[in-house]
Amino acid sequence: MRSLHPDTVLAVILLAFAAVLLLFWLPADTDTGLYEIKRGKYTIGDALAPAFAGAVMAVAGLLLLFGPRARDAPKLDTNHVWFLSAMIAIVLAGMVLMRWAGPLATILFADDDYRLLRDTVPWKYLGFASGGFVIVAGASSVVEGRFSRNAALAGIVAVLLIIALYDLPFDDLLLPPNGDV
Amino acid sequence: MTALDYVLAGVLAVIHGPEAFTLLGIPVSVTVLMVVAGFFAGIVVGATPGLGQVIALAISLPILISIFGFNASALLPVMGFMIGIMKGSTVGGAVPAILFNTPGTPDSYMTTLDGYPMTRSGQAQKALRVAHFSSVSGDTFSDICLFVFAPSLAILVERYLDLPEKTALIILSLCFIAVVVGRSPAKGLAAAALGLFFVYVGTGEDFHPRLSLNAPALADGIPITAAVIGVLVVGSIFSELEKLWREKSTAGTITPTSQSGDGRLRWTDIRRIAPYIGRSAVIGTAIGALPGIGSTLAATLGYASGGAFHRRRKAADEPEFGKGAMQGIAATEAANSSVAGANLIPVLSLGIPGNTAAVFLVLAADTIGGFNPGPGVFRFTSEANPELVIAFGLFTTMVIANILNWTVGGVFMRCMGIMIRIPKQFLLPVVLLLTFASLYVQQTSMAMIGFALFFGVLGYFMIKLGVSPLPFVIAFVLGRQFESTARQAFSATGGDPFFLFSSWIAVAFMAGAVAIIVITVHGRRASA
Repeated sequence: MRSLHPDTVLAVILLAFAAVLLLFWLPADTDTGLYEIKRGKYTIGDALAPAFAGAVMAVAGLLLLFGPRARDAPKLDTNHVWFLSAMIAIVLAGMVLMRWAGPLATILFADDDYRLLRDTVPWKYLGFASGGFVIVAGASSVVEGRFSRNAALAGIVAVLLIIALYDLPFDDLLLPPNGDV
Repeated sequence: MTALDYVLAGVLAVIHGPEAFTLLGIPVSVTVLMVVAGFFAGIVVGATPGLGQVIALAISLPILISIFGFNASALLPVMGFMIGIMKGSTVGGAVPAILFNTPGTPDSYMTTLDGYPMTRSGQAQKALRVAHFSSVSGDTFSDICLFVFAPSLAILVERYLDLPEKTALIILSLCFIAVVVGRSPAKGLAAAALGLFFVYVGTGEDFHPRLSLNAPALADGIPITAAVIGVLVVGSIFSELEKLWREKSTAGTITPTSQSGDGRLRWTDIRRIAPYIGRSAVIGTAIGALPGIGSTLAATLGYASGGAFHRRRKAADEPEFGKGAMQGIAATEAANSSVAGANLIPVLSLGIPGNTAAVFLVLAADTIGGFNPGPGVFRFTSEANPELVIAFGLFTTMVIANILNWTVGGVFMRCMGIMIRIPKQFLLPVVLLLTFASLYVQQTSMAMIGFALFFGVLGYFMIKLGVSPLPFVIAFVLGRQFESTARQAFSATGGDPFFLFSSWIAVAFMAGAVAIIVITVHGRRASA
């Protein structure tokens, strides 16, 4: 079976998104239409600007669909998707650790709640250090195809550098997750 | 105050601002110190593969604001640092392009075409010197044009551009950048449409936050820095890491690039490259002065124009463009550098950023307050106009950065080859974490990292599908201003639905918007 040209796939996605936006999402999720009458005067409603965006998207989709086809048009392959999935998983794992490592550690090893300890060393660094390490060492390891000592070193150095850059000199700057908890 | 008084006040605001320290009995102001620091930081990030001025500006903005605070006195030190970064990274950006064949930005792609062949033939030092000389020459020319033309252009703008015309101009700018940047006008339009769509999520004038799906995280809109940094920086990091991963998978190892070559730039060389620099400087400045147009187009046009000139003028023993001609480096670097100064003309006089770096200047002004880029900045009033003083202060910081560029910039730039010793597979993840941390400290919410990841994924797909992220970014930045100006214009014309055609200037802008799309699409169709 002949595979579709990448531009055709992109055009269909754009047209479908524009159609959903203009026909369903916009009417359901805005209070005013394209225009409204306030105190007897016509004013632009909240739906007009997103409708303009949707219309431009549809035009772009039509131009792509009926426009010239380049033979070497860039397209996605399974490697792109695999690599991106690995990166997303690593960043999400890092975010989870950033958010919960500190509070979990205080539940297990401290008498006070994390909120009371979030300005205290080492508690305030636990989340950022563990999550940051996972992001840096994890991404380096995926690229190299193995976990290496250099990847671990890069993770440790990165965390220490960023703590030295943001937390040590500035009292009012908060590293993750200390502004959320 | 007269015009001269304003110029003097701007210079004094920089030179005699709050004192940082005294050097040999001479007080050095904080603003001057910040320009110097920004300049050297700019060369370092420009010369570091995988980094660039956008990342540097994104990381430095929250740090600078936390240091200097949200008051008008913070404007010159913060924006001075950012201008230093812009100037330094423009020069430094040629380093990876020439030495490692890796353009840090789309602007320096053309530099690789002749720079890397020169490196391979043992002329890396000469190529770097040509790049530095051409870049600084183009930049200086562009700055002079900015100083001379920005105030008069702003006055013209104020006289002739009312709300309908401004709305039409934004549409023209968006159309122009959407169809000109990148290989496909349709993909550029799609990117701009996506930028507009995302900026309208959760905003609006009604109580109900539109398009928010009743999600609290979307109710206040999408943070501009998270979206811009996500698409540009996180997306690029993912893309670069993926290239390294493929290289490792196929070749079994990631090959480090080694530097070679030596050479001086002699007077005869300068005479050979001077016509190319002159042409490209004019092209870059003209492109830069157009609102919403980036330096990539200027670099491409400068290179193409230089190439045509070279075919007619080259000596028999000189290499062709694309095969190691130093004139090719000169044409590209002069063109992309001369955009920088001229780009501030639409930024300061219209509030429309011409490239991504200028977006951060607008962002800084917007965040700190006390300076609203637009026609009001260049109002020469007898009562002191503080915004005009700041504008001339900014021009002064550009002069300082240019002096640094001419004197120590080249030496420092050539020392930056050492950055290649850090393997990119370790450097880029560190930059990724630094980017996330920098976004978090701005709004102290994990949602910022989530947004950056989302837009990073979008940016990655855009890069892989050949969609330039620049129209997305410009549309996202201009989207709210576009809607707000259109609302005001509609009201001001008494609810006239044809307000975009209410004057000949607005009609001309709208006709230009349609024409640029039709001509570009037709041109690409013909060349396909």
